[in-house]
Amino acid sequence: MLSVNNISYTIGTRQILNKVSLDARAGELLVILGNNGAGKSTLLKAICNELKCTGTVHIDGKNAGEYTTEELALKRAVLKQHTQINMPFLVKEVVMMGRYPHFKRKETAYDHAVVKKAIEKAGITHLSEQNYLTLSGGEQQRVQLARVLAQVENTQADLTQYLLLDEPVSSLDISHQHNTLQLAKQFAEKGNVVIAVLHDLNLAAMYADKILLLRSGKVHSTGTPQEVLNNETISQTFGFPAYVQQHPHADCLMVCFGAQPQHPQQLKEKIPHRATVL
Amino acid sequence: MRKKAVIIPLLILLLMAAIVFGCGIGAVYISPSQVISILFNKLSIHLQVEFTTQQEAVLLAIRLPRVLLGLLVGAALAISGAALQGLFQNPLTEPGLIGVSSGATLGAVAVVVMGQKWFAGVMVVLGIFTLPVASFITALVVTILVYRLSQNGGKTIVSTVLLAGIALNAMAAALTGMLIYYASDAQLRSITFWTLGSLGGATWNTIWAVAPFILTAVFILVKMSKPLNAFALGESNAAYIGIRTERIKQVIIVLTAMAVGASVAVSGIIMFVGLIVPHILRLISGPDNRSLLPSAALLGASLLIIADIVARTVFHPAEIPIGIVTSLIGAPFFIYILLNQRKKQVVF
Repeated sequence: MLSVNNISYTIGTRQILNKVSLDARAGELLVILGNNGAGKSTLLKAICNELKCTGTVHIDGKNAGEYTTEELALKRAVLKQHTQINMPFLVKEVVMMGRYPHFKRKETAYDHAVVKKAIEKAGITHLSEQNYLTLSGGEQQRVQLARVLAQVENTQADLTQYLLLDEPVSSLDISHQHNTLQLAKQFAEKGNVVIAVLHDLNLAAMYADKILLLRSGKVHSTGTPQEVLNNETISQTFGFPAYVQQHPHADCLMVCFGAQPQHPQQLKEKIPHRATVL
Repeated sequence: MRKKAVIIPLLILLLMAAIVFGCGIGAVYISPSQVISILFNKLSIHLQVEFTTQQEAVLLAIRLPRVLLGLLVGAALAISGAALQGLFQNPLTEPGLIGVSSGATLGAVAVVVMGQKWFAGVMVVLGIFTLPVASFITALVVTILVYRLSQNGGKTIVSTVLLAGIALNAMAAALTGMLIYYASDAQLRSITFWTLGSLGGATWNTIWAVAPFILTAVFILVKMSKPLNAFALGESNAAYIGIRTERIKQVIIVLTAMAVGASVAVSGIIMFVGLIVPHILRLISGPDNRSLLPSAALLGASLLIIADIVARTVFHPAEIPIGIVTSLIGAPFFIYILLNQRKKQVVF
């Protein structure tokens, strides 16, 4: 379990985070939502001890600051929003860096197997021998995803692993967005914890076990998608008209943007695709 | 295709060949088999190859120390270049860039020009080691200054390291220039010879003076190769995969200062070795520091021995400083890399 208690963070006079608390339990995919500047990425950095902020982060009941860098690397992987590489590493070499906490100097056959599996999961097998610098932004993002997936692969299955993802789908096309979140979901279901910052409310509605909605650095609301996502909250938080309805095919909510039609049922019959497109 | 597996054995062969030819070529010619025979004879293994006592004396007293100094300095410069490029994530970084070389120069020039006036007592105590020691000290001072200037809230800002290096380079150059202005004609000649870089001063004493520093630095830097790879992902990502980034940065800065300071102290400023060797190797075997760092040490050693053969034979019997040879080859190569980079927009 990962618990965050009363984290506050200020730059100059601007308070970025204001007494944020959250709990993420084993098996959960927690999605952090919020408008631009709400403090989503800052919160993720604070959870990773990257900032000097007040408040505490506990991982498996122990203060995160008490772990060594090496111990944390075996427990937790972090996918940052941007990872820039300047050296011409091959894709498989970049993914292998995810295994660095697990071996001393030379990688083992097991490390190679884990890397191969992670590369397959991220759908980049055809790129594995390529120079990372020649890939597109979306391909690079999938390589970084494979790297963190390789990192959290552990031989001790009973240990909870933590995966923190900061906008993991920002450069991905629709199929890879879903693939990424499916991987995150599967990983969480094995008894691990995933915390992801997302922008797409519908991806959050579809995959999140729990949503934390940030507004001006404060927790606006937290709970299941059903509890958090409603017309008023979304319209107010994002300053854009939106309404929530049951997904026509899947067992989850769906967020539509724009003014809510007076007779949604009629409108749906007239223009059958309009509602499901969004 | 990257040939990682074969590169190290090939480079070891190249280095051995460079040593044999480096020992053999010169005014007194010694054939490769004679070189091997003399060296084995020293180890009490007698091979069936004839050689004269003159050849043996030349090899053991003149050629071998010079070749070994080339080996040490070449290895030190190349591995320092590779390590700094890994640390700064900038393939155009050179040991001289963070000011270590100019710092070392300042120390040596100060001793040459002002030694009798200011440090007469020290010079008596240190004897022939005065120059190397002075270089060590000023190189270290510059490195610590660069490091301090670039610290912010417990973190090192890499761009500030480079900018502080530029400023300190200029400062060291200005102070060196001031000393040169006061130098006498005789001093001036020795300064010029020294600032251009040369292995001409090699004796067994210089080898013993710098070998411990350079070998320690090379050995530990090779061990830093995995963390250095992780720096490719950026510092915070490196920390997330279990690297103690602050510690690694300190170790690398101190070790490169040690290796470069020792090299400059005994051979002057030899440019571009630290830039070109890692570049060539990245093209052949990729950027993985686990193979790059040891192979940089090997190739740097071989290249400097070969460059020294050129330096002492092209205008035979006169000898040109080796720094001129490396710069003549290195500067066009550097321009070629720049043009190539601009064209492809991909950094090698």
